Amino acid sequence: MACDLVLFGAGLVKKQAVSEVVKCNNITVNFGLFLTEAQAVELIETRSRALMDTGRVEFGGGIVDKVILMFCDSPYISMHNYEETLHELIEIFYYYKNEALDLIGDDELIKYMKTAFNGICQGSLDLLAGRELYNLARGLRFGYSLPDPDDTYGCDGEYEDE
Amino acid sequence: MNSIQKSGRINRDELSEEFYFQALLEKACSLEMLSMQSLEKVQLECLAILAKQTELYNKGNSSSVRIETAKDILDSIMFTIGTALKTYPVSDDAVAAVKSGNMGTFYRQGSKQIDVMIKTAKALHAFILRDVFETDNIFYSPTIIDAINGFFKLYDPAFGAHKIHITADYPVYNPMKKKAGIEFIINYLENICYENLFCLNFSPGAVRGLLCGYIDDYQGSVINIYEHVLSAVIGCVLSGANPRLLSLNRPNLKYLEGLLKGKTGPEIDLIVAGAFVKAGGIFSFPEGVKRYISRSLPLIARSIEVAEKNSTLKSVFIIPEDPAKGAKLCISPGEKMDDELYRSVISGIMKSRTVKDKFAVISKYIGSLADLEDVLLDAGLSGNEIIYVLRRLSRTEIAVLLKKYPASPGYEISELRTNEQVLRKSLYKYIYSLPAGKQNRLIKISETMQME
Repeated sequence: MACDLVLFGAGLVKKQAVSEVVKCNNITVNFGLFLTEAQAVELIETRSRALMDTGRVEFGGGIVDKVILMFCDSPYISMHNYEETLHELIEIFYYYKNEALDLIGDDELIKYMKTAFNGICQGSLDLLAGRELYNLARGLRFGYSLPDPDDTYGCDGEYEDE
Repeated sequence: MNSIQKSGRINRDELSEEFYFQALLEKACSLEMLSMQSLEKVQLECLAILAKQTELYNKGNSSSVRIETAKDILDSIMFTIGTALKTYPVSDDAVAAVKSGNMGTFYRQGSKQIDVMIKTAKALHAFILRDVFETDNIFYSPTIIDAINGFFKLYDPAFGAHKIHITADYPVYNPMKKKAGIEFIINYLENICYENLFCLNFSPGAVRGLLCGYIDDYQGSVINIYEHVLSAVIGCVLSGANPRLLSLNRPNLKYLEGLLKGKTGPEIDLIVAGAFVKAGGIFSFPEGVKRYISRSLPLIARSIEVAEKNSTLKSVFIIPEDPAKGAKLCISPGEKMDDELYRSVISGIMKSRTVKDKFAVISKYIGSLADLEDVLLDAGLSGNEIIYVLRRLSRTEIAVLLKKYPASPGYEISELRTNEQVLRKSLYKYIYSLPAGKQNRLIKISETMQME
């Protein structure tokens, strides 16, 4: 039976996912953040592309709404970079989900990303992806437990080479 | 009286046992028994099960999985649904059920059936383990005992119902249909059970002799024991030898060659079947074993037919050999000394001025064959010095070196390292300086040796 898992992941739940993203506006509007339906569709498309690029398939609403609700109170996100940041965060999320060999749950990873983004990375997505999440994934692959993102381990902690 | 079977448009035998559900849908679609809408409904229902199973797989921690994992889970789901649909004796009825029923229901039914199959397989395995035929073939017991136990440990019907996990190295004689998951294991265990029960009628010693006559290294060869024993029983019955002892000899083989000469396939079939009937009077095989053997007889008859045409009947009717003949002397190179001590021994040898002093160091500190060879290679000894040492070694030690550096190796001498080439050259210089009788004895000893 020809079951295209990728298409299933990207297509069948698209409508439901878009409506869930739009629903998040009820909360994010309190922080001055808002997404139009077209922007929500684009976010869901980014999710589908990220899933395809990382060779993953997702069932249900996915993580987009979780990312939105987790990051909406970040001091480093405002309306001018809101949509762009979300696109990047979604891509980073799936990439490091694979890199960490699925050893970390969705909620844990999103929470970790938020704490690192608001904390040591000071809103830098490059630092978040290139250093913090890289070290996290490497540590998990080597069998370390999930570190506390508030610690400054990123510079000299157990995840460093030396 | 033959039972009347309901026939349908789909021939069940044409469908893959391994991918039954997929094959059934494909066939039903090609015969237009299933519309595209119905197929889509089936797909969506399967995907709903997949979403649920993926959530279970992730223990609710993650909403996404790798595509390979999802495909594996989907294959498992389809296998489980296929197991439920196989209960319909007529495939057309299965298609009708697919059209009207819900895949979730079939999945639950299939899961229950798989649970029952696991219990059946475990019971069958326990029955086999009560009395496993004793043989030193390295594939028999390890497959039947350890590999099957490994399967039960690894088998996960929720996410990998279609997986076999093990390679089942020991081959069974009667051909098996291609199956997957627990269905394969049950089928394999059934075959093993009958073959094991059959072999238990013979003494392990007699079978060992028979297999030894077939191939020297029967212990390490992937061979089917049952096949050779059954062929020998038929040969013994036909030629008047004792089938319990499997004691065919050359006159028996000559008789068999005469008996089977120029016989056609159907004639050989009759002869073999007749021999089995006679064997039934000597042995009391259980009904299941008899049925299994009767499925093997045509295969045995075909091998006899081919062997008769090629004048190689002795490869089917094997003359047993004494297992002790050709036994190898197992030599262990022993344990290597501590690296620190080894370095000081090498340095001591190098510092010694005369070859006599060098040998004194070697004989004082070297206690294993592994260290001896290392010292001969690493101590920077000249060809003449090596020969001096070789002259003082025992016959066994020389034979071990001969084993390591055979006269006609399967590699180019130039592939050896320089010090290995020096050692090899010195060794053969020394060997050729010995009287011919002594040379032959050393070569013979080295041939009977087997290094651990």
